[in-house]
Order: sequence, then C-alpha cells, then structure tokens
Amino acid sequence: MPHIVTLNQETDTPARREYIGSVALTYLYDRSRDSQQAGGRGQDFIAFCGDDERLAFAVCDGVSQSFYGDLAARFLGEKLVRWLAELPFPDDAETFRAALSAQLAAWQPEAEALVAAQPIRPDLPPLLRDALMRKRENGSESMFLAALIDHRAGAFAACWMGDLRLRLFNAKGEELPLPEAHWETRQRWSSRFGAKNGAPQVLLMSLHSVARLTAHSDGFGSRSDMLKRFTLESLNALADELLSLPASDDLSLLDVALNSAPEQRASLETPVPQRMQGEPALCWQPVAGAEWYRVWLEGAGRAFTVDVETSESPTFLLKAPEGVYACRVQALSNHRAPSALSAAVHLEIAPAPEPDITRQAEPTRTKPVAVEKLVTAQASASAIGQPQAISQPKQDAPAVAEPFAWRLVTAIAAAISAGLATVWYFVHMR
Amino acid sequence: MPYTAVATSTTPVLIIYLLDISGSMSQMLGDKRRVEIVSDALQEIATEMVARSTKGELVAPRYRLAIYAYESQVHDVLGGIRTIDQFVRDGVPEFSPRGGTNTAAAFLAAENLLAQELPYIQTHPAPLICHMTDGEYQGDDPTPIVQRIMQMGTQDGNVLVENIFISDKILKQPVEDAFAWQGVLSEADLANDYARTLLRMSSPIPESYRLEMQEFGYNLQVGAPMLFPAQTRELIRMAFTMSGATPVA
Repeated sequence: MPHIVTLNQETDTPARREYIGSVALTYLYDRSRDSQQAGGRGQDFIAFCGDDERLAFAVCDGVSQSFYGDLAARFLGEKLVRWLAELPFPDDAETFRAALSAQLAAWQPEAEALVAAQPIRPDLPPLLRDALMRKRENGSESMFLAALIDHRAGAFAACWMGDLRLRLFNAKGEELPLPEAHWETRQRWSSRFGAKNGAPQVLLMSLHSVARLTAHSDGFGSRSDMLKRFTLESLNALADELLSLPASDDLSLLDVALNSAPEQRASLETPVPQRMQGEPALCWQPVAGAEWYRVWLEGAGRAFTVDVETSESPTFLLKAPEGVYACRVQALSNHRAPSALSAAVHLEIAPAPEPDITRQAEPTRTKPVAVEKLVTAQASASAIGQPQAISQPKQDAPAVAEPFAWRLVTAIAAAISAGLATVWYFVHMR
Repeated sequence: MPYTAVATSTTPVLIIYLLDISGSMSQMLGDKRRVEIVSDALQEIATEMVARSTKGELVAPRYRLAIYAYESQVHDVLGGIRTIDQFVRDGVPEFSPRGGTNTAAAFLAAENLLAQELPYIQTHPAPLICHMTDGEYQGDDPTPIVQRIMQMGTQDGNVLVENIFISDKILKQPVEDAFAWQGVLSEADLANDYARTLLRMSSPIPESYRLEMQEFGYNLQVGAPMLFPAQTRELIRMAFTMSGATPVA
C-alpha cells in the first residue's frame, strides 16, 4: 500500500522543496485570510505519492459554496493519488478518460455517505444550521487537477475538472502551449452527482520537451505569471501579497521539476524516535539541517503521513482511530536529500472509554427576534429610531439549578430524619 | 467594469431593506398574510446569504444588512447595520402590520444611512436597496429621494434600487413561471400608474447580478429593471434572491 503524503488543511505550509528520486517537488499551501483569522480549514488540498520511477499528485480546490468543500477536496485528492499511483500507464487519452470517469462515478456513493454522516452541530444558530442543511442537500464539491509522471514510460498523464491550472515549461523556462486544454469553473466533482457539467479533461504527453509541470489553484489569479520562475522566498512573498488582497482565496501550488538534484547531495541523518510514556506519542533528538519532519504511519487499514515542524525537542502525538500504528520518522530539508526512514515504533490508540456521566445538551435558540408592537417615534421622516418595544425571543428554559439554601434545608431535614430513626431504634429495638 | 466588485469579508456589500409593514400587509396572499410571506422570503434570502458566506461553519461577514420597517413611521429593526454573521446570531425578525405607507420617509432614512456609509466603502461593491411594498405611498412622493440615491455610489457603480410590488395588478399579463420570466420588458407591460412610478425608481439589472440569477435558474433579460411583481410566493422569493445576488469571492 503506497503512503500518500498530504498537506494539513488546518494549517499553512510555507513554500517547501523536497526530492523524490530525480524530481524536485516544490509546494505551498496557504489558507485564505478569512480561514486563517477564524482558525478554519483550507478548502484546497494537496497530496502526492512517489518513488524513483513514478510520481502521482493531486491538487484539489474545494468549492466553498458547497457543503464543506474541504471534505470533497480531501476525499477526492486521496482517491486520485492512490488510484494514479497504482495505474498502469494508459495507452491513450480516451482509455484514460474512460477509466477516470468510471472511478469518479464509483467514488460518489462513498463520498455521499461521508457527507450524510458529517454532523451539523445542534448548538449552531438556526440560520446557520438551515444554511448548512441546504448545502448538504447539494453535496460537497471539489475541482481537481491530478497527474501521473512515469519516468519509465517517459510520459505523463494529467486529468482535471475546473479552473485549477496545469502549466508546462521547457528547460529554457518557456511556457509550453496547451491548445486543447479548457479550464471551466463549472466543471467539478460532486459527492452527490460525481462528475458534474461534463466529462473530465485529460492530457497524455511525452516528457521529452518538458522540464517542469506546475499545478496551482485559482487563488493566484492575475499573479500566476509570477510562477514562471520562482524561488522559495519569492513564492512566500507572493503568497503574503495575495493574502493581503480583499478577495484573498486559498492558495495551493505544486511544482515538479524533472531531472533535479538537491544543492547538497548528502542525505540528512535519520531520526531515532522513541515512544513517550503515557500517551501515543513519539519524540526524537533534532537532526542537524532538518527543516521539518515527516511521520509515516501504517495501521488500521491506512497508510498516511503527517508533517511535523522542527523544534528543539520534536514530538509527534498520534491522533487517529483505534488501532496499532507502525510509525517511522524522516527528516527533510529544502536543500538536502531527505533522510532514510527510521525504524518503526509502534503506537496504539486504545478504544475510547465509556463516558461515566451523560451531559445534557446545551439549550439552543429557537425563536428569532420579533419586532412587534413597534412604538412610534416622532412623526418626521428623519426620526429613525430603534423599536421601543421588542418582544424577546422565547427560549426553552434550561433546568434551573437548586439554590444553595434549598440544598442546605434538604440536608438538615435528612440529618434530623436519620437522628429520629436512630432514637426510634434504640427505644423500640432494645 | 461596473458592478463586478466581489463581496468579501474586507469589502462587504451593504444591503438596505425597506419593508412596508402598513396595515394592508395583513391581507392574505394565497393562504398566508402578506407580511408572513415577506418574513419567509427574508428568512430564505438570509439563509442563502449565510450559505454564500460560509466555509465549513465559518460565516465570513460578506454582507452588511440594515432593515427599515415602515408604516407611518420608520423603524430601524436591527438598530443599525449588522454583518451577516451577527445577523445569524440574532435571527430573522418578525413584523406586525399597522398604520399608513410613508415610503418617502423610508427612502430618506436609507439616503441618510448611505450618506454616512459611502465615504468608507468606496472600494466595496455598490450598495443595494431592496424596497418591498404592497401599495401606493401616502404623503410625500419618494421619487426625488430615490433619484438622488441612484446618483450616489461607490467605485463599483451607483447604488442599486430594487422594488418589489406585492400586487396582482402590476402586470397586464400575469407571470406563470418565475424561472422563465424575463422581467418587465417595457412600460406597456405595466397595468397601473404606481407600477410605472416604481419602474422609474428601479435600477437596470447589472450583468453580474443577472448571471448570478442564472445560477439560481432565473432567466432575466439583459438590462431588465429591478422591478418585481410579487404576485406569488415564487416571485417574492425570486425578488429577494436578487437582493443577495452580489458576486462573492
């Protein structure tokens, strides 16, 4: 089972570069300013999976107008990468399109069930709950751009729906035209309908004249020309600039530079993780030159990765469903070859204990503000005032806690009863 | 290009609702009172605005709302402008019909609010006034005030004025299918003088709004006036949908 590397949607990932075989992979993931400020998830998603011979990747742009677009983006991105990673390189575009179309249809019921199971918190305001329920009826949607680069075949196969962009550059840095490609915002994949507004677009092409492939979301907008040539620093500066604009959107970029080698060929030292006592967590000594770490996990029927920021005492706390997970740690750097994977350390997530007590749900607002019996102000047109009598919303009153005095009286009465019972016992039973 | 600025949390669009709650709004339209249908429609468009502003559970303040309910007097229902995320917490108000129809006072209130706000929202989408009434004004003619308002604006365009007329006497030919209706095509379509007055008080629909309406399945003609005959619930829903059709990011 191939491990799929995914970028966390809950945080931002600055521009990073890593090396997989002869390929340099550069990526960046920034949530929109709204999401950053509110601590929300990004709606985009990046995933990849590769070795010396093949690289599969997906960049997805969840539709924010749909129900939890990040959900469809993550679901579809992982499915696409896993499928492409194991796909024999297609013979022709139509075969590829047909196979992809079949997969997009096959994944729909599973996604529909996921969407149906996604809880809508009962304590949300009624208007927001209504809006989310309306969105859920229409499902979760995402645009996507995915590709398989096969070095043995000397070719790549790309597919997409929506307005994410695939751009190709030759060794001179000149952009190669893609005259047959169409990027249509209306096209997307839906948890309710599968492929929506047409068949997926596909492209099969030799790697002969291609030096770089760049996939990016529409968040780069009119500044996408800046992606023709970039450094990690210029990418971060561009992201900062775009995030300051009023229409700030999620930004995701994945760039594949073929036939690349790190500045320093020597690999990083391999981390030596140890299990921490009392919790499903690992710690290890920092590796010199490491700029981040990746934990490779396998267990409970899944193989996945989690990236960990560097620190003076790197740690990783496993958050996953119940099961035993084999964990290996790798050190990575923008400028050096990654380390080998560490030996596996096993972590176990125990079944969640049954709760000792059950708590009553918080009462929810049930009634909007009513504007009734408006008391009129002055009779002039400019006399605008707030209504002087606004009936207050009716709420289901939560159970009132017993006051302290009442509890005291109850306790004294109980003590007196016990005393009387004792006296009665000594009088009558002896 | 006018009316292309998108509503974002840093450049929200200001929408002012002027809602006639005069005594006649207690009359029935179908099986419900007119005022209840308006509350339902307001609930519906508020839900749609919330949906358009929501990523996950996060409601971005892309819309700023003011609601003036008017009869003989004008009442600031929300106590000023509220962002859509604040509106979500408070819920949709309900209205109790009474009194006359001082339309001019309502538009004057909107003009005053715009005069205060416009200096600070020049880079935002053009504000929109959504006026809903079921009868002819009493007192001063609102037309001069509306014409002044239509000359105000932001860099995105002049203030848009939409009129919703709850009446079955506005059009000579009733609208049978709200989704197929192309809008008021000429004055000759209108059946009475007050409808013609409202036509002059209505902005032409910007192309960006028309395209957004297409996303909802409506088929309005290019440049149709923002004047809607609210003969049925479907048409009222359509008209309120227009009020939330500012392009969003």
